[in-house]
Amino acid sequence: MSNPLQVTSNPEKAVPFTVIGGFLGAGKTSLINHLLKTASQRYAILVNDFGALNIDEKLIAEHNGDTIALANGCICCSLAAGFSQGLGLLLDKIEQFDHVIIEASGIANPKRIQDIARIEPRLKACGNLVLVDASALMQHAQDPYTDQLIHQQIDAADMLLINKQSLIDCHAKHLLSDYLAQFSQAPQVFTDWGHAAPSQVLHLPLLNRTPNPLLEQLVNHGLSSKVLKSDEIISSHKFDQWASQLTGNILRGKGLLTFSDRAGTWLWQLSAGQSTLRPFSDETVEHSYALILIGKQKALIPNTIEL
Amino acid sequence: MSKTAKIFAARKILTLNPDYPEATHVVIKEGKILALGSEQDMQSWDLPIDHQFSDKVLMPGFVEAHGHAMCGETWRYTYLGYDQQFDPEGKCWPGIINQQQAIERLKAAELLLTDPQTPLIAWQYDPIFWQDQQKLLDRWALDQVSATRPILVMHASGHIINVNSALLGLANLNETLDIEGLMRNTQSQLTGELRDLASQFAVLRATGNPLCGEVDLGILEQYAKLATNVGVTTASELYASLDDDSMSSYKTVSNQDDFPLRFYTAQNAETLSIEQGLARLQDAQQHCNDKLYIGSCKLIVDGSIQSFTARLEWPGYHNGVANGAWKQAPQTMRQMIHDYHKAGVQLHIHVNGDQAIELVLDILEDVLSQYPRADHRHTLQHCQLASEAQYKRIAKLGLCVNLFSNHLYYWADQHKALTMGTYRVQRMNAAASALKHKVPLAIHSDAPVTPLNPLFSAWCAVNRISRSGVVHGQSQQISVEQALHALTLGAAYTLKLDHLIGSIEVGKFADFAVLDDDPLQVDKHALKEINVWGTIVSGVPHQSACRN
Repeated sequence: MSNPLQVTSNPEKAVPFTVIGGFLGAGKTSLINHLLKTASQRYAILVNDFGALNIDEKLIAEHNGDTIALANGCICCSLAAGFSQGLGLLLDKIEQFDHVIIEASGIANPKRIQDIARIEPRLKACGNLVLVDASALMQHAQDPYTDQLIHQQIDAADMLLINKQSLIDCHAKHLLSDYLAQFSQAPQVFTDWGHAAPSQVLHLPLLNRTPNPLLEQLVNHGLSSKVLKSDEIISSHKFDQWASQLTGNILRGKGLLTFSDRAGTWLWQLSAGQSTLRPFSDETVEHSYALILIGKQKALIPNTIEL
Repeated sequence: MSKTAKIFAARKILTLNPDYPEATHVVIKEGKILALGSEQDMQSWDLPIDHQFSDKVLMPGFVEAHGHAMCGETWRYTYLGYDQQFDPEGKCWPGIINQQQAIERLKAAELLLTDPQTPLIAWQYDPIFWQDQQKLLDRWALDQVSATRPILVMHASGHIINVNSALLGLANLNETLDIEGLMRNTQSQLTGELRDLASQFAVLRATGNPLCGEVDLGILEQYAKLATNVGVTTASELYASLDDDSMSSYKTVSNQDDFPLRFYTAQNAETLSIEQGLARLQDAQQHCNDKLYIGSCKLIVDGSIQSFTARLEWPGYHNGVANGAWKQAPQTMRQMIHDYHKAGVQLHIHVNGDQAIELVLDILEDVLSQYPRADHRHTLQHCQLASEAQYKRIAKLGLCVNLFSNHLYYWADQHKALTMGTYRVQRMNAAASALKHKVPLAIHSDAPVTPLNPLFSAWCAVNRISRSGVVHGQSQQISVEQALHALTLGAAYTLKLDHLIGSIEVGKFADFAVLDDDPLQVDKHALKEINVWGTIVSGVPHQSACRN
């Protein structure tokens, strides 16, 4: 049996602890490769699998079973023997490191892992960085097999790093950003290849979370969303009429529109049954409208702005 | 192994061998079955006859095709289960049904610990069955046992832990923390109940990570004793880490000539990359011998029904709680099944909910059409909620099922009230559907989740009677013969060991369960009351500790 933990609380010495979450393909490993390459601190990184890591052989000081030690003082530990064991071993020699980074598995809820740092006096909780695959998020978020876990990850984020941004156009970015904002107050950063500065992503202010009714609806009863895009130019009068008759099935709506009878681009928001339209910019968007609607039953969400 | 050839005479031998269903004598040579027949048939053999079992009934040794060596570890700790259980030494531990009994048993266990730092660990605490829900094992109750020694109580589900104040302090858990799963009472005080990863990580670490599934020599020896006590001669570890430490324990016991159990392991493929998993499997396989079988992998798709973590199709859980959780992303599961199948590995796939079953059937349909393989024997483990339509697909894909029939006794009343409702509970562990569709069937205990005891598992599948005495799903009851088959030859088939064990046939190992009564003669409600004398493994008798 290992020695019981010593209760030696010394917050000055607490090591920052960051959890990197996100579904498969979101780019967690790319980010970790990027962090290792640009490391100026001694990171201890717990990963699910070494296989995908792209560590320069010249940098490896020692490769010992489940641990790779790098010349720059960083180590990577695989979680092959299990999460608790991997993290337990790391905590035994925590004083050797400046920052602990956990790569959560693709289905893990990062919030639960972050709690470990809030309990352990030798660790300091530095937030959950949740990665999102810009090109696949909307699809995964609609898949009944994965919708729950995707949204729980988004809800757990202290920052959303939206990766693979160059795979989508700027309208899709707006819609994605609007969609994510319905589930998370976390700041959003768009990037490619997991490129982000350590200072930007490894020391995140912890968000105060309040229960999100939309997430509860999704987890307990399911939720659907639809993107409405069209080049058709409609009048603001027609839109107002349409928006006012959206039924209780639609829980949220957001998007940008241009109108035949008004100049500029308008931001529309529907929340708690309140439809609001306000000026967004003087420029005109390419599509005459691009909206996202979130509702309980997919079949009852309209496909176009038709009365 | 019995070195000298000899004959065992019995009141009756149930062979599970359709060519010769019953005998009274069996000839043993080099630990294997040389012949069987009547007393008259024995005249042609010039061999000594051993009469010690002449009033007993012999059966093929039972095969536990889904158990865990952890059941050997659990008895290092204090038992707090609701039902009585026998420990490896044959001692009966009465069920604990209220707070007072729990405190008394914990106090008695505490007195036996000499070092004041040693944590007191208890297991199988099951408060949902306790009548007085106001008096549970909260920290104040546990503090009565000791205010200074750390105390950790694991729930029967394995998902919740209760601790005393001393352990809360040791693990730095205090009232200022606002984290998930750290339960509080109405005055906001911590109750000592921990329901989530972070708090459980802290207390498990502070107590040396008990009950985490590691294997050592002592654990395997205890597992073997538990097996002998209930007539099991081959048992599995269906979530094995085949690391060097575990392998050294498996190698040691399996090379002992008189060790009373054959081990089958399925490698836990969850935490390894597929490449690592295959490499480790290949290394480990070199150490197979007559008492150690390695080569398959275990994959876990969803959680459990009683913890509301199984993945269900519409309409979901009866009480309306959210759908369960995948253990791996569905895409990852697809990759794992694809790669392991392609590499020729047999898979034991944990699926409880019907949505998890559907996912796996979809994946296997694709994978098997891409890479057809004769006799793959991939087995759906637990498979508690498969629909009739799914059984048809299971049959078409050539899969086996290993059902968790013990659930019907322990939790069917809860399943009816909370998880499944009156209708769906009738189809849980649908053994009759499996047989109707000619799906190879095994039945298991998942020990230590429920106690290792094949005659009890047979009783569950035959009668489908819950704790409250209600029959759940008469149409899914199976016959005693079918249940005995599922726990011997059927189980062996899912392990690809049916050519070696599971029936009494010439050339198979001389492994027997030695019973006081004939399961085919007793009333089907009395199946679980049949006394087990012990086992014979490779021709060597091993008496149950319960007989001493």
